[in-house]
Amino acid sequence: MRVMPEPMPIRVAVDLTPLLPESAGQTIRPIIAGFLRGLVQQPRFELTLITNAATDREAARWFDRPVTTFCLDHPGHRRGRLPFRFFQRQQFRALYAPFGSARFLHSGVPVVSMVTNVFPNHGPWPSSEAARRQSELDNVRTSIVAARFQVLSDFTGAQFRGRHGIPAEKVFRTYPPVCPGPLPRPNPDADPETPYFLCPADSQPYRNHDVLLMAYQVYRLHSAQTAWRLVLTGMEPRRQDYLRNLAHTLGIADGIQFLRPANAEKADEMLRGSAGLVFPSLDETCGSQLAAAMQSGVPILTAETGGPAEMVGEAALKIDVRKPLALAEALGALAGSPTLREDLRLAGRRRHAALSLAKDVSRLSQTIAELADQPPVGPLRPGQVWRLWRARQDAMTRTVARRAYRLLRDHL
Amino acid sequence: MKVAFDVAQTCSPKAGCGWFADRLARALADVAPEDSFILLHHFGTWLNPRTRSGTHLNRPNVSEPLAAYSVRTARRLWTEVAAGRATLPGAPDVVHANCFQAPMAGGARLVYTVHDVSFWMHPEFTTEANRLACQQGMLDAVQRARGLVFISEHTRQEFERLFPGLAERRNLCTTVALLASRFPTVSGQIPRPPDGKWLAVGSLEPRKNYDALLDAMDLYWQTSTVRRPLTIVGGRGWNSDGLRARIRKLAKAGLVRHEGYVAESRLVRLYRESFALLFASHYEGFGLPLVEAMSQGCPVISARNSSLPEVGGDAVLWCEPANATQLARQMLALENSPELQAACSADGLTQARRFDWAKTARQVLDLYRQVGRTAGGLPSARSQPA
Repeated sequence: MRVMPEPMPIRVAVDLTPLLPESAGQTIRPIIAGFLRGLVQQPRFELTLITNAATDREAARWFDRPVTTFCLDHPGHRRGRLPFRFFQRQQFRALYAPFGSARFLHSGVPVVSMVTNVFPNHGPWPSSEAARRQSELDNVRTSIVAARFQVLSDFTGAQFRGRHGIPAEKVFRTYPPVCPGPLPRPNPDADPETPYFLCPADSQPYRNHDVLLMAYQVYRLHSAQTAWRLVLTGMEPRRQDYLRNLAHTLGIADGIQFLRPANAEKADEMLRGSAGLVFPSLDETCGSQLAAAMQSGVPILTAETGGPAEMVGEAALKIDVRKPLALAEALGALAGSPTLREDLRLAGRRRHAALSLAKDVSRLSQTIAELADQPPVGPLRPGQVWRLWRARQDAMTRTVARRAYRLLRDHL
Repeated sequence: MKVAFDVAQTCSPKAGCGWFADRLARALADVAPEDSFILLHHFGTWLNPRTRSGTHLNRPNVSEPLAAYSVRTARRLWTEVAAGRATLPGAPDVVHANCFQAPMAGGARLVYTVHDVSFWMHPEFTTEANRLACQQGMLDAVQRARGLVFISEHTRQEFERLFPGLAERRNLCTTVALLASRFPTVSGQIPRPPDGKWLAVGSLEPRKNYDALLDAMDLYWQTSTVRRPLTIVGGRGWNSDGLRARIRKLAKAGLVRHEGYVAESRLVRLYRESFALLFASHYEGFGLPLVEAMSQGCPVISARNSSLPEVGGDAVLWCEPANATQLARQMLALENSPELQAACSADGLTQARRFDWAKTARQVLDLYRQVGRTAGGLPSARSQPA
């Protein structure tokens, strides 16, 4: 009997260089870690993590087995740069860029890139205009270089395709990993003794905290003594200060708690302890906490549009979160109706059971394997180089044009 | 008392908010010659490259220190004022904001005009940029203002629904200052041309409900023997590409004429010559076209919602809901009844006389004096938007 030789594993480089200790991508970390854990468990892949000195240990801790790591900041390497030869020598057959960056444009191997945010043009969504421009430039560069695009919701996929003219077959959706998640509450069918709404979201303006505070103020007035507390987590001090002032003005300061969980475990604990997850974010990609909330039996209140609405399906109370009165009414309904909470819990569990990490990782790995089977793409084609140069020039030109306009406007 | 009055919005083509600032500034200067008014042609981050078309008053009690400022100089001034390193020119006692912004006003007490809260009640009718700007301005105002001016009782009630008990809790002075017609109310009914057209006034944007209005026109043209065309007056708003295409198509057939933003002289002529005003808006803070049409004896058919019943009273033919069928029914009823036309016109004149800029100005002056008397310091400077 002939023994078939084991097929050679597919060598995949993973670009983790954008991972920084205090970077904004705090919510995206567990999502990326979940996908990478899923890929590492597959024998057909051999992953090499390209990291930086600040976070290579953190990345290594994501896995329960040793994973080859190539630290970019290691003495002897050309700081921050990897030549085309490196990717050839290492015999990589694909590059996975989960942070969506197109840093190694010249790798010569097909790139699978995750697109996390596509900020709309019509609103000042990120904290600064510079952040929005950088995100947009990253997405343009990614759209030119990558062969496949991973998105965390169909909503983001549609936004990305619409903005950059990417064909549908090049974009695939994987919801955030649902497992391993936080453990369910000891008694998942019961409400906590001192119930509170939890809103876990960072300081970005699109998280819609202002409207939430207005809504909470109206809800409190109507619910009087029985009103639940509102716990806000994950906010930077300056934004926290502003919202604290607003809460004080609205007369609800005593009902609101600003907490900064020390670590992921504490954050999970707070989520499990809450009686309702309020996620009024606008134009959100996915909302990674929603899966955990569904798993933990926490009823969800969220926006009727965007990634969260798509991810939770029917397992949430969904409203137009731009309307404070609608949000206030929904808070009241959630807090006032045990039946509604029970229905949402059950629907959440059903929805959670329908989501599958294995299925999503399989979609990702299948895409990587398909690309790896194709002949190497080689160095960048002249057309790509030209488009990349144009994208950069466009971004710079817009900045220069804006400055020139302001200068002229101010002097004429 | 020295009052700094925001007229920044009057420097660009004026809509309701701009006209409110313009007419109120004039009326205040007239009714309070003993007070001095400082017109601010740049306000907060509302900075105007040109201020020539803004409100300018040649009165002894009015000064315009920022009118000659460049955008850069004005920005620097407001930045310095916000940081507490400078005060506004003329060291005003009260600063009255009219353009949805509520900047830090140095040592002066802030009075804020609440035009409407449609961006919270019907966000679907506005753009995200506009919604967020208005939201930030209003939230800054509830933290910083010492007085609130509502342009209708309905707006006051809506504000109270959104911020229940806030005015009382923060000891805010409030008043309802109704707008009035920009044009003198005609003394009696003026003869209208028999072939007068229908008139619609308002920028092309979803809130104005032009789609229902054009549907109503379709129904009307199918039934009417007169088949009056429609004249639309108003600048280009947002999210109106489909609407403009529809208007262009009807314009080719000679049924609709879109005149865009028109001068006051043209508008008053249209009010006098048109058969009736059609106003199908979903939501208004006040509804200036209603009172202006009534002041010129022009009958009005309007949607009954938000502040509009307060403005129109019993002098308007109401549609509830403001759908095409209701509108068309009222249009045909008006067209087929000369008695109804005369009654609407006469009732409209009576109703329009209830609104008066001088009366409004006196109410606002009272508010300034109340605000001036309120004790206590200004809210904390920590209330800066993040």
